[in-house]
This record gives sequence, structure tokens and C-alpha cells, in this order.
Amino acid sequence: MKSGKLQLIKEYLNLRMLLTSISFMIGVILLNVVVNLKTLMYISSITLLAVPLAFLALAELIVFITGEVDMSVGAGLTLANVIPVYAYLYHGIEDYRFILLHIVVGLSIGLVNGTLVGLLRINSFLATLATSSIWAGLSLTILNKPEGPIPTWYYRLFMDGLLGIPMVIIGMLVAISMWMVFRFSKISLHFYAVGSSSYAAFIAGINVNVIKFTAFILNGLFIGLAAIFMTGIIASGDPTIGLPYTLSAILAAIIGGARFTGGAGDGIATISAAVGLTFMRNLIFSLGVPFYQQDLVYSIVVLALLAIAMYLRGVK
Amino acid sequence: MASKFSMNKLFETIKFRIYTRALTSYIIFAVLLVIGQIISPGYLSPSHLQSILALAVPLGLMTIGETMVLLLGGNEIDISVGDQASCAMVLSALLLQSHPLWLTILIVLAQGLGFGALNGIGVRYLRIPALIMTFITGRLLYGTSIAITKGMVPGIATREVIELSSFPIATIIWLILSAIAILILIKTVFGRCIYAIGDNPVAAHNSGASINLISIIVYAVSGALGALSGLFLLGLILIPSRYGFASSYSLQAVVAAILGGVSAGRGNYIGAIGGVLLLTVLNSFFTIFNIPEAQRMMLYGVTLAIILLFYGRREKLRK
Repeated sequence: MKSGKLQLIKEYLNLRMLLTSISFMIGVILLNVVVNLKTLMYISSITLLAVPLAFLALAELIVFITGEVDMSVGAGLTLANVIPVYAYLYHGIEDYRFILLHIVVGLSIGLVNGTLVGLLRINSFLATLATSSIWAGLSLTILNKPEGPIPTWYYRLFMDGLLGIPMVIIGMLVAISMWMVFRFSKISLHFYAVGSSSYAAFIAGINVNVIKFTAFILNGLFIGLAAIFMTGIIASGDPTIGLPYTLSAILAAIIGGARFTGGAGDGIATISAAVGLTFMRNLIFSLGVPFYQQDLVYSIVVLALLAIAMYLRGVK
Repeated sequence: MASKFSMNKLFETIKFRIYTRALTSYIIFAVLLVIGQIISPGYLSPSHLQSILALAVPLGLMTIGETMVLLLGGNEIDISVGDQASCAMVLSALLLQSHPLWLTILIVLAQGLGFGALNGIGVRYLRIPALIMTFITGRLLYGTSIAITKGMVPGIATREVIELSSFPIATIIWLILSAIAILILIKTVFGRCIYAIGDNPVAAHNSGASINLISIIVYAVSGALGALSGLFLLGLILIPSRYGFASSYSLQAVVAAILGGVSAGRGNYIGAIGGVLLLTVLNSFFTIFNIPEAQRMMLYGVTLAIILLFYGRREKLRK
């Protein structure tokens, strides 16, 4: 039994994937420090900014593993940020219900996407493109401009930490441990099997549609968690916050070893790629790129990184 | 003999289904026109119909490119056409302040061809899925439009552009370009290659069609038409009030083409025109009922999801 577990761990840890991603993260952080030594002082607050992206990238990864794509993670994040803030401001939803509402919205998003892609068998690219438009429109209908404030205790939590532990550590620990629980459970094997060859998985007795549906439910859960941190960080509800995140989440998952064809990818590698990408954004800022060129420069970097990642593995 | 007969019959059924799809969009268009006349008298007056024909031009041009891309099949799609238009709007508003119209048109077309070819290269050579590649190009175009204007939306449409994009001229240009596109798709080797790739890429490759080259050309043409439609949009709305003004058009172009019966290797632009007209009338209804942009986005999303339910499902694994 014990050696069996060890065997599993050996199989799971794809060292090459992990090393590439972690060296990418460390490389970018070092570049940051070289460009601006003061970055060292802000490492923890920049990493806190990476927590929502890390969760979103995990949400994207889980769907990628089953061979599908989610183009709506950014818009989903926005919706899961806007609805709780709206509920607090106009309906007085407070306490644990405020936090829980993020998760509920996230799970509902996953439910809709999962029903469309998993159960109704619609092409996930187009289905999530459609829902992305719906979530974005819905967010703008609920709040047509950034609004606040959020409950005082909530943003205090993000300044002072929970019981003295900074939220960045809690966020990263939750992300890593949730991935570990998923990865060492039996169901993750079904996910990878469905992504590698849905027909072979079907022949082996796996219910492909249900697995894809479950992937989107988990995706929704991660979107909800991302929103919990996002709301705490920006301390408001912003109907346009998520737009740039879709691309970053996809890129982080790809650097983390995922393939567009499914059946591959590692969570830890994805999380470190998300941290690396956040520092990349900071690097563009530190280099003194004018604000009106930052979008362009970041998009070029994203395209270049994606091209490199695709090129390196496209040879096979 | 028997098998040939059944193959013919099958082919006829497929053709029939696609024509009914294209026909449906024309019929819905006609019904919407009648409804429009009922809720707002004067809707069917010649002057209003003329304005609808002018308003349809930007979406119509984008849908030409989108039709070609969707015909290629295999998950090919271009969702950067709206961003091409948005960037072209800002770029042409900036250029028209000091340059003549013909030069502006050339530069805008170059923008479209360049970014469109980038789409094609990313999709074909780097194997990035088309939806993600064109999404990135959309962000690049958004970033470009902010960078070239340094964050301040410049300029205003000149008289020439307004004339170019109003009723007779714009509609005639659209008709000419449509006719060219339809002829290219039906009559030329290039057009038949697009259908062949959409129908069976392996067979197309084996019979000598260069899939990479043809796809890149199609993406470039789609980009150029998207950018050109930005110029027409500028003439219609006069001032580019914000960045990414036209980005919602990407989804509309996809919806219009699918409604018009376009899918991998099947359908053509004649059907898609029905989809374009339908969406244009729908847009005019949204304006009559004063529905805000956000709710329009939701409605387009819901429409796309419903269409996909009928036309875009995976095959069952259990045969």
C-alpha cells in the first residue's frame, strides 16, 4: 500500500513541467529585483495580487485537463466579485454569508457552463464565449461602475491577516492543498483519461459527460475562491476587473504544462506560473513603460510566452 | 448504383438543411420588419430602410471574413474582427486629421492585413487554438489603439467618411464586395480550396491545397475587412467615444454567419447576408426600446448559446 502511494507520487510529479514553471517564476522575480531593488520589500503584496490569478489558472487548468477550454473565467470572476458587493450594499448581506455568496455565484457559473459543455455537448470554445458575454453583460447590469465599500472587517482581514497569518500565505496554502487533494484522489485519473482520449475513457467505462460537467463545477469553485481574494484586494465591486484575467489564466495553465488537446497539466506548476505572470506585469510597470503602452506591452509578452511554450512542445 | 443514389440523396438532404437555415434567417428578418412597422410606424418607410441598409454595412463586411474563416472548419474562428474595427476607428480618426482619405484607407487595410496574417500564423504554425489566438490579437489591437493615441481618443469623422458610410455609397461598396466574395468562394480554385479544407483537411492536403497558406490568406482578408468596417463605423457614429467600441461586433459576426447556414465547408455568404440583416434589425429594436449595451451583450450571449444548442453539438460517444 505504502509503496503504491509512493509510486503514484513519482508518477504524478512531472519534474520537467514543475522545474520549467518554477524557474520561470524565479527568473521573473529576479529580473524584478535587478530592475528595482525595492521590489524585495513588496514581494508579499505582489504575491497577494497573484492569489486570484492562481485560483483562476487552476480553474482553467481543471477544464484544460479534460480537453475543454473556458473562455469565461475572467468574466466569471467579475460576476462573482460584483454580486456579493451588490448584495452587501443594497441588501445588507453580511458576515459569513458575504463570503459564501462568492462561492455560490462561482458554483452557479460552473453549473451553467458544465450543463452546456458537459451535458448538452456544446463546443466549449463557443459555449464559454457565449457565457462570457452573458456574465460580462450581467455584471455591468448589476453594477454599472465600480462601487464600494465592502464590510470593514473584510478588508481589514486582508491588511492584518487572519489570526496574524497574512492572507497571501493562507491563499497560497489553500490553492496548493486543494490541488493536492484533487490530484491524489481517484477522480483526477478520470479527468486525465477523458482529456487524453475521450473515446478510450468511454470504452473503459468512464462517464465522459459527467466528468466534463464535474470539471466545470470545480472550475466554478475555483472562480469563487478567486473572487473572494479579488474582492478583499480591491475592496470594492468592479464590473470590468476580470477582462484581462482570462488570457493570463490560460497562459498560466499552459506554462503549467496543460495542453489545448487535454490530458496534461500540473497545479503546482500552474500556481507558480501565475505568480511569475503577476511579477511580469509588475516588471513592465517598474521598467517605466508609460501607462498607455502597458496593455500593448503586456499583450505582446503574453503572445511571446505562449508562442515559446507552444514552440517548445509543438515539435513532438 | 444503389449506393450512389443514397449518397446523392444524403447530399441533397444536407444542402436542403443548409438552405432552410439560410432561408429561416431571411424569413425572421421579414417578420421582424413587419413587427417593427407595428411597434413604430414609419419603420418600413424608404428613408428608414435606407438607414438600415447603411447600418448593416460594417457588420456585413465583418461577416464576409467571418464566413470564410468559419468555412475552413476545425475550430477556426476569428473573434478579433470587432477589435480590428475598434482599432481602425481610432486609427482613422487620428489619421484623417492630417491625411487624405485614400491614404487612411490604405493604412487601415494594412493594419487589418497585418494583424489578420498574425492570426493565421499563430493558428497554423504555432498551433494556438484560433479562438485564443484571435483573442490575444484582439488584446494587441486594443493595446495598440491606446498606445498610438496616448490614452486620449482623438479626432472626429470628416465629411468624406460620413458620405462614404451613408446610404448609397456604403451599400454599393458592400454589394460589390459581397459579389466578389461570393464569386471567389464559388468559382475560383482558391474558394473551392476553402470548402475542401473545411470538408476534409486531409483530403484537401493530399490533393495539393496548401492549408497553411490558404488559412493565413483567409485570416488576413478577414482582418482587412474587419478593419475596413471600422472606417464605415467611424462615419456612422462620428466620434470614437471609447476604446473597444466595436468589440461586441465579433460575436455578432459569428452569430450572423452561423444563422446564415455557415459551418465547416458548408453554406455561403448569400445565407450570411440574411443573418446580417436580421441582426441589424434586432439592433435597431434594441435602440427603439432603449436597451443598454450591457443587456445587449447578454442577449447576444444567450442567442449564441441557443443557436449552438441546435448547430454546435459534439457527436455522441455511444454510437
